[in-house]
Amino acid sequence: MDKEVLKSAISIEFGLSNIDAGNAVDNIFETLIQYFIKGKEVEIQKFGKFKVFQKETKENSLAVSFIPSKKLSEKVNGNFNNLEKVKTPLSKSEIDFINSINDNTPDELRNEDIQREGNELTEVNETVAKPKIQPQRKLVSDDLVKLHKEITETDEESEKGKNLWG
Amino acid sequence: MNKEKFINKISERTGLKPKKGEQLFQRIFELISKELRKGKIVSLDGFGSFAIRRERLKVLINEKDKIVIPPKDLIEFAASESVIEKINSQKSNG
Repeated sequence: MDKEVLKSAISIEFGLSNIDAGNAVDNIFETLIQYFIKGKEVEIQKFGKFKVFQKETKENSLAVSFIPSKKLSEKVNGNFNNLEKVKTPLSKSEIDFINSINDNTPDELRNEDIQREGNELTEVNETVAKPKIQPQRKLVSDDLVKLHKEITETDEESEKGKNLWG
Repeated sequence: MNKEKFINKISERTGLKPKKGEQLFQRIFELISKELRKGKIVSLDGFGSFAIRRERLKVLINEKDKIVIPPKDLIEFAASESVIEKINSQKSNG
């Protein structure tokens, strides 16, 4: 939906001319913007809250955040509201799979300083459980790792003399 | 934010009576909500846009169990450039 569609709907529902409906809608958003300019928070029932905040990355960089209301969040998440977190023990085959991946991890990618704690939960990208060693890395063969090093070293040297304008 | 003040401001700007202004204001956001519930993007020139972002299913593991976290549809808002400029122009160095 865009502003024009919104204006048409308002014009029909409130019996206003297109122009009047259009002005009303524009003025309402202008009012909100004026609140943002003053750094004020705006809370809209059954919809959500707008807040002006300072971005961490830059100075003088204000942005507007929006936090939807609980009701609206639930309605939007309609497809998944009935689903819950499910905890299941790993099956033997899953444990074996994890161990086999661990055993095959090339030395370069193995980070032995990391202690894995029993209770620590780590995220995996696939639905099949995979082990996570911080930071998460792709498991590639030694040859590919070597090849990659060679290629990137070459690139660095040839790039030394260059700038954006050649 | 004071609701009464807000409604009065709207009434001032639009020329509508406060009650009508309030109804119109609420209706705007009802319509936006309806679109979002259909999973549609709402794009408002000079203000910003609302969209639905789907967070994918996640699986967390430790040595003994796995936890499956279901996907989730979330609402995202991005203010338009003109709004960002306006709110930052107050603070720009001069």
